[in-house]
Amino acid sequence: MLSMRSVTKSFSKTSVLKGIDFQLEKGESVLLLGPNGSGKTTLIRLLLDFYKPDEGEVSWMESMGARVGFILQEPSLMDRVTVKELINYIRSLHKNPLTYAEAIHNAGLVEQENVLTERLSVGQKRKLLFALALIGRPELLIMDEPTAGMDLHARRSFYAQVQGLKEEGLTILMTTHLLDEANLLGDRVLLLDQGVITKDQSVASISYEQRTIRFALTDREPYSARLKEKGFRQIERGWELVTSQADELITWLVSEQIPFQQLTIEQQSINDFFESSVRSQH
Amino acid sequence: MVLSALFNTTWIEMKRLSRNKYFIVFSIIMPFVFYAVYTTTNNAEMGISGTKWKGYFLVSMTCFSLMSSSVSTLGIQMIYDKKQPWMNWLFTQPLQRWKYFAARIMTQMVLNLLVILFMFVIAAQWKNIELPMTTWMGIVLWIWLAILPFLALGTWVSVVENTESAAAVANFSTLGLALLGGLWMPLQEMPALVQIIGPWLPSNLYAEGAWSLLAGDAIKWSTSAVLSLYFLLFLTGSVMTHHHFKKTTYLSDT
Repeated sequence: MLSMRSVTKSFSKTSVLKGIDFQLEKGESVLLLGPNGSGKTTLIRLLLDFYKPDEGEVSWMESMGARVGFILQEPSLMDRVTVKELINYIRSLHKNPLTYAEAIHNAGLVEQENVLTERLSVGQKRKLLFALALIGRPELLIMDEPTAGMDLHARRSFYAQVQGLKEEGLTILMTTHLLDEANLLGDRVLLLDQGVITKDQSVASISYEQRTIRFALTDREPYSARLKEKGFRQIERGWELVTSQADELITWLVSEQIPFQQLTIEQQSINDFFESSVRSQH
Repeated sequence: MVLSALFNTTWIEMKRLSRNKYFIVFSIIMPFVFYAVYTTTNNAEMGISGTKWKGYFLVSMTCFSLMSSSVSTLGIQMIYDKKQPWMNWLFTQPLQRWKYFAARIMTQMVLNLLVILFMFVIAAQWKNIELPMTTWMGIVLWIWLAILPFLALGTWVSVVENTESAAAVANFSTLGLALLGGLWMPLQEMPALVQIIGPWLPSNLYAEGAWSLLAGDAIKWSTSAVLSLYFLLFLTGSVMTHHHFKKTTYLSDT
């Protein structure tokens, strides 16, 4: 559906993106994660043609045309117009838009339809931005931290709407700071750090491949060298290791007759994945 | 789709501009209040340049209103909007930039026409200004169309990054041009130097065309020609400066 090949972008002498390669396939839901300043917003803006890449290319599937919905990071809306006027104006720009009733329902702002946009709360602005992005019946929805500033109730409602859109086959690319959103909404995670995509893998593989083995050991001394050699790290009351070969390591612990106690095996959360991936880069 | 997008964008921008307090105060209330004060404190029937003060000053204040609206309101509003993220968002919709900016100019033209009609209808009724319909139409058309150099100047002002600086530049140019161009006081009553410079300023040329029609004369070709040169100068300056700034703008958000 869209791809970036060897894309670089600098502002003055600051290199923000350094050789970005990725593809987005139809129907995928991809989460773009990364710490502040990692280049997420620049990447999104390159996709939307706000900036031109210094090198490399951004390619869109030809039939995409204008059917891309976009939600800004900032809750910014055209001012001095009412909710109704803005929805109808955006509808007028599209060939086959949603009806006004559908759009105002998506925004959940039926009672505020005659309110000027600058008088809406941040959460209401975000809901309206979401509804505006869907007016042109997009095939691809690009969202830059869409839930920032939403309360819990609004966020849950947003998740439900996005889940619904995913089920309808909409392709989604979304940046977020809220890592749990990856578990809820993403099929695939791209980790961007210092302008480079350092990880590109499915959410399922993060949960199932990486596991944390943790156990206690009363008498450490005789086993330390062997455990360290295997990559275990000492913690307060025992040892731990994040690994994709948990089963083999437990077999090894047994065969080595290491007297472990309180053994736990935890699946890695998105938070663990994010922290360990970013930590390993620094 | 081209006309529909232009029309709908013009329509929504007209609503926005009509809700802009700056536009209401500086382009409608202020010129009208000045007209009321100056024609009440001076003899409205006094003769000047082949016509009467009440008609002459109506043209002056209407020209000032449109200059203020086209340079200050348009320029400052464009700077303000340019800084708003929604402006970038809007161009992710099926709307090309040129259509949006054309709609902004059309909006300004439509509201300018409404301001002219508002000023003329109220003043003509109140001060009993009687002119042949063809003269009224000629003056309306001239004031409406000859504003183009000032619209170009407004878009040029919008290149200033900071809204406060732009407001200072816009207000200084509008008020300065109005004063030195004889819109506040006839040039004949100004200092000798201003009487030399004034006739070459775009503000004076702009009003001069309408004053000529008011006095029953034709517009001099030199008035139209020099005003057209100002239009080309401001338009070229605006396009070139916008192009230059677009190439050198540093965008820091990542």
